[in-house]
Amino acid sequence: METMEQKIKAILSNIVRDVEGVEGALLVDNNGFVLASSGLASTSDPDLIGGILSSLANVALRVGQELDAGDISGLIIEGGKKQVYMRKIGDYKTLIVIARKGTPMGMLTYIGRKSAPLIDQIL
Amino acid sequence: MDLREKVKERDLNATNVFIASFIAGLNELGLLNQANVLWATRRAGRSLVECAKIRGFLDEAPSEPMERARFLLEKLVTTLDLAVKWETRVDGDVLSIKIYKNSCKFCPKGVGGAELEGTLCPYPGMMHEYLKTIMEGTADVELISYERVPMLQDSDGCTISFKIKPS
Repeated sequence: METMEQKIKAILSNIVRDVEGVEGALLVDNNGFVLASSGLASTSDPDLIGGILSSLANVALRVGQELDAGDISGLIIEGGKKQVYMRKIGDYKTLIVIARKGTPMGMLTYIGRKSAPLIDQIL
Repeated sequence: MDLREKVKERDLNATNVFIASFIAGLNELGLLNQANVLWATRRAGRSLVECAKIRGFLDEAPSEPMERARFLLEKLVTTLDLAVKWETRVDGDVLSIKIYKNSCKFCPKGVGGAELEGTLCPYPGMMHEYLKTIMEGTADVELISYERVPMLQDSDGCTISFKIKPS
């Protein structure tokens, strides 16, 4: 029988496999701990990435409150080489998708929106 | 319990209140979580090794790896005055430090008033890196996590544990 972590990892692996350009996907909690990950380069430190990106998601929520912007459900980072899409799952988890620059952002947001409820069901 | 009572109960000074509240404030902004604190406090741990050297702790420490680690950890806790009531324990190859409830002087939740579900403790990362660096060549030091959380919390307080493997 699959554990919760294995089920989530399977969803993350599907994201990496199915979307051209996606290099990795993680699920982190509000403490910044990586609950599951797939496809991250061996040179990356998942704990550090998880901690920082979880903070970023929390800061975005705080900004949303200050600006009265409503619930912040997604966050996009565009870099010269990579782009990152983050989506809150419930109050305590964040899905992070890391992709090469040029990967259609619409595809990342689509896959994030599609995967988030699947992960939420497992949690 | 309000801060005034905590100051008396935990024998807090202004530095304790400042640092605990500062960490809590950063968490309130979303800037800090336990994973980040764990990572950032490693730097503090490395720097504290230099303080230990200057103060001569290494010369005073026993040579047997576990006793050496225990002595140096206790020196760190005493020097930084981390808590009112605490104790170390050795169980096989595991060295633990328990900080009793309502005793910690830098707790971002208990002293700083941080409102969060998880933990935000600055000690595990600092202690781990301090022990790892100071024991280099003598023993490998591993921080024990409990479902990713670097400490064990119970009704008595918080326990941080390290596996000490002589190298």
